[in-house]
Parts: sequence; structure tokens; C-alpha cells
Amino acid sequence: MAQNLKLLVPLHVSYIQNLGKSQDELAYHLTAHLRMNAIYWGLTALCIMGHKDALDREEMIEFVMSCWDEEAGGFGAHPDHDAHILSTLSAIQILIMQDALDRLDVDRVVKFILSLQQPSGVFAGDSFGEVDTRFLYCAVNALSLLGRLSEMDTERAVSYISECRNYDGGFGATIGAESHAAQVFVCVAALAILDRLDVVDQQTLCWWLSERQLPNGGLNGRPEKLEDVGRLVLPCGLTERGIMTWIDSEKLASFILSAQDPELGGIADRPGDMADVFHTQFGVAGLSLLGYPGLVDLDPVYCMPASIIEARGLRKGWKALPRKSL
Amino acid sequence: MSSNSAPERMELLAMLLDRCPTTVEVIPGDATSWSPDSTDQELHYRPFLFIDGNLGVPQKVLYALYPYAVNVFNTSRKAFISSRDAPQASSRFKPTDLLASSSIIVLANPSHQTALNVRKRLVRDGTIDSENELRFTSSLLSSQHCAKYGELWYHRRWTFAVRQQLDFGECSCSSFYISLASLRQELALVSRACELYPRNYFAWMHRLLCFRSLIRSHPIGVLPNELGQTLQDEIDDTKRWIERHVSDYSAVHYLVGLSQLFPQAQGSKWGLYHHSTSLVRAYPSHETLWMYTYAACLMLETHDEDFGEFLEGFVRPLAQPNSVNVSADDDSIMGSRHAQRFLARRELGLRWEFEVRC
Repeated sequence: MAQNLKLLVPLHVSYIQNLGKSQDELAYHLTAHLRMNAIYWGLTALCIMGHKDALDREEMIEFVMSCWDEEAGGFGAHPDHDAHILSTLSAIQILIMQDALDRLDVDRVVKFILSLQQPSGVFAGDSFGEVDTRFLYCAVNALSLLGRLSEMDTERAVSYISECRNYDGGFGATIGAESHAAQVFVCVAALAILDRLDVVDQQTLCWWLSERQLPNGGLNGRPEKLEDVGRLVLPCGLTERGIMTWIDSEKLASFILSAQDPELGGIADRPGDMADVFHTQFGVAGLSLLGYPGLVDLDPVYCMPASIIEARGLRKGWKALPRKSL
Repeated sequence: MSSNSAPERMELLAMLLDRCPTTVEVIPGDATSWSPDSTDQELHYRPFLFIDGNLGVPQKVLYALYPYAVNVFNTSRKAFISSRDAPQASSRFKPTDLLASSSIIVLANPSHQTALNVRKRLVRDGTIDSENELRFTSSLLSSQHCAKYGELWYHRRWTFAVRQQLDFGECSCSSFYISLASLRQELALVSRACELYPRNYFAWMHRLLCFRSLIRSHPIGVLPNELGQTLQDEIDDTKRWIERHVSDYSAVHYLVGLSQLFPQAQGSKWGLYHHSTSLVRAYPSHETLWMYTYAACLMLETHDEDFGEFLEGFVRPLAQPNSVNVSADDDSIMGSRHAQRFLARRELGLRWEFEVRC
């Protein structure tokens, strides 16, 4: 592991705790449309760091339920926000991690999710029809967690994903769209859940993944873009032979650690930038997959603690690096 | 008009946005840092700048206004929902606050899906004219602040589809359609967005969707002359763009995709090969150009002998470990590394079935 840098766990825990208490009204308002996702990212990061109880469980569950959109049958990101598949998945994941799934009207949520599948196999984000492979992943993940995967048209979904495969081995947001790290993750993870990783051209994709690593150790999301902590550690974990073969893990871990804010806590997209909860979660998740000592195992397909996924019988054939000892 | 209170500022900004300015920009600082040689008319719009149809919104002013706009939005959205559910209340509902607050929210925060959705509902029920909403989104997408947001590009496509439905009674509202007549303006909008925000993922995607929609609306294989010419021009224009933006892989990906949509373009595959190889010789440190060349070779599906001069005369020598001496700069090292990867990739014998995907 990195010689000089350590993961500043207590600092990141308090960073996440302080997010909810933010006095800065503007930042709170500007991110309200992401609130449910932010809580999921924060909770997952805390779980990986072994500090799940740092946020109040009841308060969190109450907040999740206050985002229920009764008309649509799904969850919005914030009270009085429209239901959307992104926030619906996050809500389900939070309830599962908090062992509170009994609060959910499962049939209604499943109905909402299924209503979003398009004839082409992809999913819309909400009833207004914007499609993206991210939404397909959210649907597959959510339905799988709820044990209702068979109710969607899995064949069509798989064929849509395979049409999103580009000549460079990567995947885009829709058919014909450019390969991008985020889309590679959602497409490969969705295929993993659907047990159809045969659709992935492993060799070409792994070439593309390995080309994402820059000399400073960080990964970028697309050719000739900047490195970003949020990119790609998860898809690397999903490839059959695991991360080791394709990227320099030591350098990547060092890069993530160097993007920490040593004063206020949290992790940024790259060293020197301002931290946020999204990159804190993906930084910590990445380190867990890279075997950083003292962290809890993360399932990269569902992006949740591995023990929870295993308990539900949903573990797929992914490989992380062995956990180093403290 | 003195506009110092939040309600006054919201009303003024909403009014200016409703004029669908040619450009909108969120500018640094607050009202005090921008003091044009003020004509009476310009003072009239303070703290905003509105000159020759171009709107400037000081960032601090916009963000100070945002929480107020959100409160107004939440209240008026609830009233709107109640009015939908109770027909007797609907005649009492005045959409002014909802229109004003949602326009400010979308300007400041183009990811705010709920604000965009409210506007969709208002377009659908006729409160907002679809033509106007197209002009509004065009204004927003002209700004660096908003140009990258996929939610906004989709909102625009959705509005086109609704307009199509309203004009022609088509059933499928989710089906984006654009006419050849509207295309030029759309391409100009995308180009501007890609200049303002390089590697603009959703702008390039929008561009491709425009052409897919055009081609799909004609019988397979039978393209009218005008459309064929437009596609040819687009391929040529995109090549010129790549020459001016040699690290813009998004443009390369777009060009490869476009060529697949239009396989009958004049000499297109060899054209791409010659274009890409000439660029990569000139700028060998750019990964984008190597990927372009790799794609062009794949599309040709011929044997290595046809690429002989390029491979043996340029790539292999560059790929030699000792072609780059110790004091070489980063660019030379990058060029050598890319050449090595190019050869290694080709040696894997990867094949790709390029298909027309519509």
C-alpha cells in the first residue's frame, strides 16, 4: 500500500455525519434533487469503513419514507420531488442496509419499475421517457434485490445492452453513444446480475479499461479526459480475471488516498479539489476492492456490503484483491 | 424598476428568460462587479445584464435567489397538483409563480428533474407553448453553465416529440422527430455547446439522435438527394472539427457512428482511413487520433498489406523502444506508447461487426 498515505477513517466518518447538519443553505438546496442518492453513498461508505451506526437509523428510514411518491409508486430524491428510478434504487438499497425492507410496499414499487421498461428493452428514468443504460442497471439491481427479476423482459434488456457495445469494447448511455466509464460499469454490472457476461467482449473491454489508467495512477472516464476517483474501479472488479491483470493497483490506491481532504475529511475527484460524498463513497469502495486493510468487503455488482448480498444469495463471480492485514 | 427584493428579482429574471434570449450566461460575481456604461434601459434590468438579446446573470445573485425560487416552486407545484385532481379548483390556479420559479430553478440547476417535469406537464396541457419551450431550452443550452446536462437535452427532444404529436396527432410521444428544415439550427446549437463545454457527451449524443431520426423517417436505403447531401456535408464538417480539436474523441466516435448510418457516403471508409492516418502522423501524442485510425482500419476489413506503408513506415519505427531517447519530451514518449498499443491491439486480431444501428 501507499507508503506515506493512510485512509483517514475517523475524519471521513465525521465528514459524512456533518453533511446532514450543513448550515450552508445554498448547498443543501442545490443538491436536494440528489439527496436520496447522497444518503445511500454516505451510508455505504460508512458501512465499508465499519461505522454504519454513525448516522441515526430511524431518522434515515423516516427520511426515505418521506420521499415516497404515492401517485407514481416510487421514491423521489427528496420530499415533493417526482419519483425516479435513480432515487428508487437508492431508497431500496438504504432500506435493505438498514434492515427495514418491511417498510416498503414491494408490489407497488415493482409495478413502478416494470412500467419504465421500453419496447427496446432499456428503461426510462421516469414516466417522461428519458432512457439511459444507467436506468436499466437501476431497474435490474432493484428488481434483483427484491427477488422479482423474472418479471421484467430480461432478453430484451440484454439485447439492448449488447447494442450499446462499441467497437472499442466499452458501452454508452444509449445505442450509438460514446463509451464512458459510468456506462461501462452499469452495463457490465447489469449483465452480471442477469448472468449474461457472455455479451461482454472481455478482451477488448479490458484493453479499454487498462487504457484509462494515467501515469499518476488515477483512472479517467474516457480517452484524453482527466483522472477521477469516481471512475472505473468497480468495472475493473467485475472482469473475470479481476483487477490485478489490467491496472496498477498500488498506483491507483495511492491516487485515491492522495485525493483525501486531510483537514475536513471526505475524498475529492482528484487531489486538490473539493471533497464530496459521491467521490468519498467511490474512493472508499475502490480501496476496499483493492484490498486496503481494515475495510469491509464491498460487492461491486450491487455496490453494497458484500455480506448483505451474499445473505440474499445474489453474489456473482467477481474478484477483489485480497485484503491486506493491518 | 428597482429590483432588490427576492420577489422582484425573480419576476424580472423570469421575464427576461421568457424573452428567450439569444444567449444566456451565468457570470462570475454579483451585480456590483458588472457596471456597463449604463443606459437607462440597461439600468432597468439590474442586477441582470441584458444587451442585444444576450442575458448575463451574476452567479451570486442567481444563487441568492435560488432558495426563494425553490420555496415558491414547492408551494405553487402543490397548488398545481391539487388543481389537476379537483377540476373545480383548476380554473383558480394561476401558473405564473410556477412558470417563473421553475425557469429560475432550471437555469441554476439543470439537473432538477422535478422542475423540468413540471414544465413538461405545462407544455402537455398547453399552458406553455411548445415552440416557446424550444426557444427557452435553446437559450439555456447556449450557456456554458447548462450545456452539458443530459436532462436538458432530453427535455428538448421531448418537447419536439410533443410538438409533433400536437401538430400531426402521432401516437408515440416518446419518439423524437426533427425535420430537415429544423436540422441546421439544431446542429448550430450542438456545435456551440461542444465549443463551450468540450467532450460534451450529451450534446454529441443529441446530434447523433437528430440524424438517426432523419434517416429513420425515410424508407430503408432510399434517401432523398437533399438528405444525402446533408449527411455528406455533416461527415465533411465533422472531419474539419476533428482537425481543429485533435483530442476530441467524442467527435471521432460520432464520426464513426455517422459513417455507419450512411454507408453510401462517397468513398467514406478509405476517406476516414486517409484522414485519420494523416492526423496521427501530424499529432502522434494524441490517443484520440490513434483510436480514430484503429476504428478506420477496422471498418475497412482488409488485410494488413493495404496498410503496409502506414504500419511499416510510421507505426513500427515509432513503436521501437529505442526510438525515443532519454531526453525526449512527454509527447514523444506518449507517441511511442500509443504506437506500441496500436500494434498490440491489432495483433490481438480483434474484429468488429459494424452494423447500421437505428
